[in-house]
Amino acid sequence: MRLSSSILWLLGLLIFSSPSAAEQSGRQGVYLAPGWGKLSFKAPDPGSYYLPVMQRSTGGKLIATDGQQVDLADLLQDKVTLLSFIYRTCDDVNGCPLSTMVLRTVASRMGKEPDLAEELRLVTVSFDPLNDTPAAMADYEKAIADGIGLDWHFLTSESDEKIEPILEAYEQFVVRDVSSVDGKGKFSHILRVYLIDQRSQIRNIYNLSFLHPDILVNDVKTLMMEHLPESLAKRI
Amino acid sequence: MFKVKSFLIKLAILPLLAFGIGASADETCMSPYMAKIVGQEDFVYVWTLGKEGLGDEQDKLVTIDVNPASPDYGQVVHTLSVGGRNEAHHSGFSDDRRFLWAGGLDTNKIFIFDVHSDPARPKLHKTVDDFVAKSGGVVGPHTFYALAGRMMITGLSNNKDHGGRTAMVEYSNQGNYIATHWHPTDQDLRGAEKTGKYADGYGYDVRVLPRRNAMFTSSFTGWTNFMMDFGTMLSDGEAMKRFGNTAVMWDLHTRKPKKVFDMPGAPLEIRCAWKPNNNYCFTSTALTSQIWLMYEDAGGEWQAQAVGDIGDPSKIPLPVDISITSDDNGLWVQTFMDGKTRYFDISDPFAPKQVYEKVIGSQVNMISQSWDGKRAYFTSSLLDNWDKKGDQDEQFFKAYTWDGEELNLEFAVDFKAEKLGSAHQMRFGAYGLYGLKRPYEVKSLVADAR
Repeated sequence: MRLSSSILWLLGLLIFSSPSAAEQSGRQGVYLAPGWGKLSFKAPDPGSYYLPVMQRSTGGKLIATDGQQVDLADLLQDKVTLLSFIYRTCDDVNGCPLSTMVLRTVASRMGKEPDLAEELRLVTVSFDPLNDTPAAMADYEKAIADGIGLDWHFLTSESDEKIEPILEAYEQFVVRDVSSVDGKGKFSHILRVYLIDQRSQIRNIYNLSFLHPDILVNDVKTLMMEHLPESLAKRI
Repeated sequence: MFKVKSFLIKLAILPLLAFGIGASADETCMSPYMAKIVGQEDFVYVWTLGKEGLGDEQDKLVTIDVNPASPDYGQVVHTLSVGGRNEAHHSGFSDDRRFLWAGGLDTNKIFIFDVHSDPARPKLHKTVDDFVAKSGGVVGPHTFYALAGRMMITGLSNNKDHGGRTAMVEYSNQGNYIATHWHPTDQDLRGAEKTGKYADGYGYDVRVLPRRNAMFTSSFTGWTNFMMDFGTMLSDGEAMKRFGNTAVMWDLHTRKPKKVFDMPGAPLEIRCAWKPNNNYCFTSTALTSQIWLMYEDAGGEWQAQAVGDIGDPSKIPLPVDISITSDDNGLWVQTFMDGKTRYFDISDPFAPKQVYEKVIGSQVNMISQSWDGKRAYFTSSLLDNWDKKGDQDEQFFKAYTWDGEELNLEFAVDFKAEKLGSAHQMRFGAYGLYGLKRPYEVKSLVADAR
């Protein structure tokens, strides 16, 4: 088919992937992102490195699962934050399910260190306001984060127009896939997770290669150690 | 900037995003963080040095239509001059492949071109003109290598002595300075292990193997040498001592240097293997004409080893650009002095064997090959003051097809006759990267299928 051949022009191995892409590249089987398995190297120890400031984070009006309006900027301060953009019905194994799984694993691990867990916030923002209503995001939160015991916010927006400036500010490129079955239920997007420090500054951006719980946990702890007295930092 | 409101532009990035961002001199040597074109490319962008007495004398981005199905096939369809000469050299796409960053080794300016709004007509999006000040004295922005949401830029020199000590500099995709990473020296190894005689702190190229959390850099020479007349430099014994003799393996995540390898004779381009278990990268040394392999041994330690000669090293053929094939089995190597391209079988990475060679012109430097290896493009220029003189200073872009046994010339653009300048680095563009339809009908599927 013409469409298929045109799509096959492109091969992205690492942020998004597909079996056909993997096969085209000469690799065997389905490519699963590193985040799904054991990290193939030892993540550098927390505090043994410095994560430079990339840029300031950006806020914007969003809606919480209870229907209340919130400003994203208010959620990106005072704590270390991991911010991801997803859509609830994403079925790309190396897409949104991966980022949500990684965040959940980070939450679970950090939860074992309550003192540190209190200093971490997770923010999951949907870029599909059409389908991801506050009620739908509440269901999603219950399925993903129920009992996790961490400061985890699931947010959506009123409309495409409301979320677009936020996505643009984060260079989180999202495209509603008009070729999908109903023309509105699927997206193509870059997979990125943002690490934001207590001063609202972006300190790292993860894509498929480095989106792994081992790395995120150690990066989170590295930022926390910057704000702790030396005696406490040594405990991390 | 990207406007999501624009439905057309939404469509434009669809294929890119659907298959991801996953790659530098060519399609097989790009950052693994970048989307790749695995079929027919539509354009080759040639970052071109302005030449005194030729055309507008300015550096320019030259866009050449290379799709055989296009009515403009083989033609220069657009040029974009940037004002003045900067010693235009290398370029690289951002990780989303919407912008092309191109550097000037002499003026230290960085030109960021928008190539996604209209791939046939790139626009100048932003110019960074404070690279030296922001970076803390790094001179000669060379390689532009995409990492997640940012650009890693290698320097060639510094503003203190204009020698070879230099650093890598990180910028955000928005063009804002992030950090400077100085190369390890004897005076400050920065925690790295010096494995041989040298720790010169020189820089040139950078490549990464994310699966091993490894980053590799090579080493060339400083501003004083790369801006000097080539003949004058060759006869200057002191100048010839000022070339890099090292490659460095870094921790990619922490940006810390781990191991400094001796690699005498200016190792230049680095090309890493693609296959998941092929944990190695090649480079070649300009002055000693050797192929080197940096590889992870069975014990998980990184090693470096000379694995073969390129031509007759005693004649100093001056190997320049190299390009690995996407199946990790072949390595193209250009030798500037004799104008040849050479194809090595690297199926055994420890024993490369030259199996083919062809004279491309009086001089040749860069190569860009397609992901399927069936097309290869060559350009001529090395550095303004190092290119040959008179009739030997051919300046061209040449498009070949490769059938596995022979390179066949499809067309050539004479950059002198067209008053464009000296042709240097090439990058591929395609409408399909941004979901845009080609403005002409592809009457046969042959072009796509081959």
